[in-house]
Amino acid sequence: MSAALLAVDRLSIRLTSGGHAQDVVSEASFEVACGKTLGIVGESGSGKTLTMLSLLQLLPRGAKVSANRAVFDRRNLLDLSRPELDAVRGRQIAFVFQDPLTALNPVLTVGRQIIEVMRRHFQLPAAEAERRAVALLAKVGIPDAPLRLRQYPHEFSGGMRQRVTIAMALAGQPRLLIADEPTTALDVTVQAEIVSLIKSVQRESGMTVIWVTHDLALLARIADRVIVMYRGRVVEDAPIDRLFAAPEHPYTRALLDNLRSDRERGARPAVAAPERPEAPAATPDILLAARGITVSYTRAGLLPWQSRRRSVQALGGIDLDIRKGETLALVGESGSGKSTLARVLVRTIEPTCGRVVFRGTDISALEGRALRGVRRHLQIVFQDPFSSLNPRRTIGAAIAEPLIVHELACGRELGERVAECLAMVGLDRSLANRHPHEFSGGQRQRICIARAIACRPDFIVADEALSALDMSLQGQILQLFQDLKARFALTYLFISHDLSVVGRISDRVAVLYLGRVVELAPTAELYEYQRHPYTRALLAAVPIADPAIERQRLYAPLAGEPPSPANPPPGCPFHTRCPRVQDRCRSELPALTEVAPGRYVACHYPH
Amino acid sequence: MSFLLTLYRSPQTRIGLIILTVVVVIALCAPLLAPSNPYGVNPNSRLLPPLSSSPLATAAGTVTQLHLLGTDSVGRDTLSRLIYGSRLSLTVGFMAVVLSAVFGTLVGGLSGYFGGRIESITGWLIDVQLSFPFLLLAIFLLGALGGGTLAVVLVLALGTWVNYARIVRAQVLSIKTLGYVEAAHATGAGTGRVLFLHILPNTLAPICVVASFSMAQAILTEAGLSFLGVGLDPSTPSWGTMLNDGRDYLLTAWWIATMPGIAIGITVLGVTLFGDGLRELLDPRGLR
Repeated sequence: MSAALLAVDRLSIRLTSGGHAQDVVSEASFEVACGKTLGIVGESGSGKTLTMLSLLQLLPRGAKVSANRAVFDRRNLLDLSRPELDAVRGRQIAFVFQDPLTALNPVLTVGRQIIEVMRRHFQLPAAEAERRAVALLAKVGIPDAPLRLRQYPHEFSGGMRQRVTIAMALAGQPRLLIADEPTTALDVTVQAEIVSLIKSVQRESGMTVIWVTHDLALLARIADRVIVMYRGRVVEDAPIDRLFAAPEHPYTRALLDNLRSDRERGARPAVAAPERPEAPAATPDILLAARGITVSYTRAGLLPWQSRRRSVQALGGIDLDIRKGETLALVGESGSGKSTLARVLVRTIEPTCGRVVFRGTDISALEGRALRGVRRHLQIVFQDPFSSLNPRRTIGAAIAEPLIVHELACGRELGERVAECLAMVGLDRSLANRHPHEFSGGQRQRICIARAIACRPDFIVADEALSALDMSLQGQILQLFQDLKARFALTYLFISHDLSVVGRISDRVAVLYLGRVVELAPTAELYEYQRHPYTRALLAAVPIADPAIERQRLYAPLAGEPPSPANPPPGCPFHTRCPRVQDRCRSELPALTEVAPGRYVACHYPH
Repeated sequence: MSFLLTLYRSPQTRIGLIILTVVVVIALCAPLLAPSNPYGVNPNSRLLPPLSSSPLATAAGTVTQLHLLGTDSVGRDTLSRLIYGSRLSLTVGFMAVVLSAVFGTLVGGLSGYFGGRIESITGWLIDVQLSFPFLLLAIFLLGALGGGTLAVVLVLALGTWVNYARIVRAQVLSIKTLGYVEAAHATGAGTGRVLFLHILPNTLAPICVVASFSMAQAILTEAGLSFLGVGLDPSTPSWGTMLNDGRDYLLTAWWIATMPGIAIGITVLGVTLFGDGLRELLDPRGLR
């Protein structure tokens, strides 16, 4: 590669904190060719972000960088003086960060933040800078750019904010754009849009891109070359096709196997789906039934005399049956109400109206002792393993809690039961008197699962239980869920925004959009043929871990973003983004109807 | 015991612990340590500077008495009064802090946890308390209650519980949205269990910080109240009353006000260092 724009040779980073030093990156070498896209993949803590930050000398104090060289455009980045560095930052190399919520200053208008970058690098007159900023906003796909320029970051949705940060990065017309997990915080459909945005900008301007991510499948869509980082080392560096076709390092292979098994489940469901009696004659055993669940929040005005109440509807009348022994997946983007539904089902929040019937009893009316009795059989595992354990209590105490609350065990037996639960989730019993902070994310999630199964429930809600974990851990925890299900005949409601994860574990999938179920179908059938246009778009947005397929895939990202639940569109909630929208959709709300045995769709014109 | 050992390991906390231990031991053993009677008025030894001595007539005859830290305007030994004064100042400071911390935490906890009407009422209480000048309230109440140690403690607690209530309420509001609280609810744990086992223990760190500052503040406020003449009986030895006594002699006999000032300073330092260490110790991440 002679035309390398950036060539890094044996870069190491050593972090010193509290007296002990740690090599977080050791001897990483890589190159990016001009106009190409380099993908850097690795799990959290693998040093990928630090490597990028070190190039612009943005590392925190206490970090020591050493490298043979890091040549960008014939200059060694690590030797640059402060003024030289300022000329490179933003102008030659620009960053897009992961979290669009924190990357923008909330007290400045979006326009000012973009114009600041331009004026810093180009000495433009104010009017000209503003003209360019408007053009830039339009370019990154923000409608009404002149108006939006005067708005503050909080007036933008997550995806729109990420577009603004991209516009800011592009404002200096950089030659290299470093995108550090720019889509991780976003929904899949929005991610697809951002990806195609960056690709189109790259096509136009010939910009070079380094895309840092933990999602190897995503790189299949965008990268020309991929380096894999593992524990601070570059373990593999290959062109995209070769990496996917013939991965060399075991870690890469494990990552790919993980992705492939997702895909196989999705692509050839008939093989992967376990044999099960097709539509039993008697009505299947319903464990939990939700009827007409509606949750709306009303907000009083800020001042007492403001009677204007704003009502936000999180769930708009959900009917759902969960059969005994099945795994029902609940899929939807952020704001679709999936977590709200989970909380209604385990009764940590009260629905505005509707009933939840669990094993024949209406639990929405229960109180006190009777409710506590039911809770024993309904458990929940949360998304964030870091906040779902009390930092002051040992994990043994956490697991013992349900047993104590329900008076299922005490004294010596309690200790035995806790040890047993730990063993079931693959942790050693001697760990019981450690505190949560001594465990990694994956271990904590195991502890949360142990707590959920401690009192032998029938039904477990897993609310995005895998989303906070690294790819390689997701597979393990998923396996744990499956093992436990087989062992205790559990029923799961598995909530996720990630369709590929869901494909592996669920029997049926319910797709949620803006507080309503839009499609409900057996998993295999759903992957094969989606009847609702939203489901179709959702699946199309999920990257496939095969660059050859990705290149041929024609996918038109959904226009726009999910409407706000505070202000839902009339008629079908999806009509604002639907490619098949008709007049009827704008005025009439489609009901969830059975279009084929076991398949339900809420659409006037299903596929 | 291992608790104290852990505390002893950090050098800062060690200093705090040593200071506090010494002060507490002095307070407990005051009769043994004090060289002379703290109430003993002696017209012959008025306003003597430190390290001077005076003759004292006793039943056995006249003995020479050394005043290590001098004497005050009526000839009482400053060191003895300082030693006896520690009893009162520590009691007042400690009790005021415990009382206000318990009350404030409870109010803040309930208000943050339940919200709604309880929150409105407590919020209103806090606002009333804050809008009332503390000194005015203190003078009024002490006038009505007629002074005395208990009254001073009550007034001090009344002045500081708001700090705890506000901090705890804010903490509870954020903690109650965390996963482990929700998990406890989903498990079926009752209100008391959730509040006292899961939420309030996690508010300890800021409470500790506020408490160590408040202890210092309470000792000083007690001094201030005594200074204004509404606190304790002026003949009672307390660091506050001593400061008050020394006010008139600042230029002529500096030691009368300076010595209790130094004592307060050292104690406050000890409490602050110890409180800081305690906060770290109570954080499970700080163990080991």
